[in-house]
Amino acid sequence: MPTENALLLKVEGLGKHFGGVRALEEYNLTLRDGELMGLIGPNGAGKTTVFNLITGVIRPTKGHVFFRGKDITHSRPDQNAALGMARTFQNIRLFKQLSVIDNVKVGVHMHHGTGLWATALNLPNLRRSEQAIEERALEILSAFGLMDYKEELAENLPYGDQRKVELGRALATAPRLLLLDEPAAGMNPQETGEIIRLISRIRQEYDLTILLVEHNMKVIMGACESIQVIDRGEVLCLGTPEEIQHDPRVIEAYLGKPKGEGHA
Amino acid sequence: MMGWNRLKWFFPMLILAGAILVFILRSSVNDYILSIICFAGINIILAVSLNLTNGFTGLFSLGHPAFMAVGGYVAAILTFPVTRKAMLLPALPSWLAAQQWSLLPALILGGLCATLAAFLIGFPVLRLKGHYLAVATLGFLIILQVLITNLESFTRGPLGLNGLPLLTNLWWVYLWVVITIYVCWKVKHSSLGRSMLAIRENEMAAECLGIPLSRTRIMAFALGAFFAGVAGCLWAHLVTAITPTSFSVIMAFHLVVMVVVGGSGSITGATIAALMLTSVVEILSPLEENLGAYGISEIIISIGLLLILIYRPRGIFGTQEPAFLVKQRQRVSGEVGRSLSYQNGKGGTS
Repeated sequence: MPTENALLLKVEGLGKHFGGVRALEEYNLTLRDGELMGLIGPNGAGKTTVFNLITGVIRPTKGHVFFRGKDITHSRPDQNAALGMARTFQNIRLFKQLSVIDNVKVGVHMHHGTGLWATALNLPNLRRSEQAIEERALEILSAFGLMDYKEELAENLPYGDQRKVELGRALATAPRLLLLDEPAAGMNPQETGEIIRLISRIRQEYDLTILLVEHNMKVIMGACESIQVIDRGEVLCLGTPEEIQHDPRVIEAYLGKPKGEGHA
Repeated sequence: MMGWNRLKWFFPMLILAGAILVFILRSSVNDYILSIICFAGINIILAVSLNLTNGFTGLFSLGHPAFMAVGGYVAAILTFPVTRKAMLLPALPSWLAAQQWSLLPALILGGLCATLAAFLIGFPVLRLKGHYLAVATLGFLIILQVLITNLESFTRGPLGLNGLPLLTNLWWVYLWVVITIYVCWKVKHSSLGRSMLAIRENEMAAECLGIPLSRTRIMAFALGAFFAGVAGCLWAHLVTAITPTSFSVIMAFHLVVMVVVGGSGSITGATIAALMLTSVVEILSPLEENLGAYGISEIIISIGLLLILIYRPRGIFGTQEPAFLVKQRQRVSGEVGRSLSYQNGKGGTS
């Protein structure tokens, strides 16, 4: 079914070298509207580099990224966000000293925020914009069951809830494409189950396309329809969870070669 | 809702009360104390506006005195009586020599020139972070001092301009204190201010949420510079003299102390810290003279700063404003939301 949908993201021959280190080589990816793809690979395989390149946090050495038909290879992260791209981070990056609701409100700024003049001169559209932002933020908070912590500083929240705030904040930007970098990292099994349900729920409610990096196989196998495996900066294979689980190259990348074959 | 209504009247009443206080002070207190109160007000303008750059957006700038100098010199040249200008600045271009402006337009133009300077140095310098930015802005301050010293036909070089008309009074200072606090308060409690705070808290996350980093940074830097320029004009027309060394590194240090002591991002904190620091310096300066122990106020300020950094590293107020000044409405609805969503518990998320 997903193959019938329009192309949302296309990555062609993307490469990133940090000095002599080849973090990523010839990376290709095609995401269609509504897809939920998992991206896995051993530590240091280049998963986070892929995210940073797609969102524009770092610039590629070579290759191209197309998003919604536009070449965004050299776009800044804020430009990509405006086009409908949102992400979360492996190590949670909340605005720690801001309240939970303010964290979410920052995500809405792009759509409803006012400029300097309207703000400083208290023009009538300032109040309207603040109201729109507040409404949207409250909507997100109640959808995520975070009303409880509304005025709490983000840094005071339990870890699992901080992840939720980060996810809510990303959704506040009203994205088309959501990039999730290990959303279940450091969570207990109960919280992990909750985050899987949350992801599939928001995917339907907000009509999202999701690219998911995760170490937790329960999350990956449970949530994704297709999975791409990368190792040492290169794409290893792409397939359904069943195909991936039985692919000898994947097993080798994760567990090493069986005894007697190749190097120790 | 009641809290909201009360708050709606609180700020106008506060402004009115301040105005009455200004009126009473001007008719009761002697000129010396009045001028100290003016200095305190100018320091409030400076600390609150520096807070916009250093506190909200997290750009550690030491360049505030440089913007004061820009504003101060521009305004001084404009308000200088034509006759004195002919005497002291004979090399001044004739179109400029013929000008003799009143205070308000000179203040505004001075502020705008400071803003322009902030734009010009902002583009290259704001790429830097943390202490690199601090060093770069400090460099800007020193470059500007050298420039002023050498632009003799406009500034009379190291001699400076003296005998400026005494145009600044407590009313002018009060007006600009109110404007500065009002604008900064509005900015802080708006979407724009939140995006500045977001940049301070986590640049990469802010950028990925669609906040343009350099534009927002420059906006905060330039807005802060505008008020610094205005404060520089007020300062020059209070002291009635301006020299290249009027706006020094020590001043930058004092301003940063005010922001840090008050709490990075807290407008109330910056205001109170500015008042505190001005009074400490004024109380200690007779002591310095009597004891012959010059520099003792610097030592006391430094010790005070150290103590605050040790025991309250986020300053007196942190990023917050005192609770009674912030919308009560939010807190009330927050509590209602709390009790409701507890019943739903985590079930609400699945």
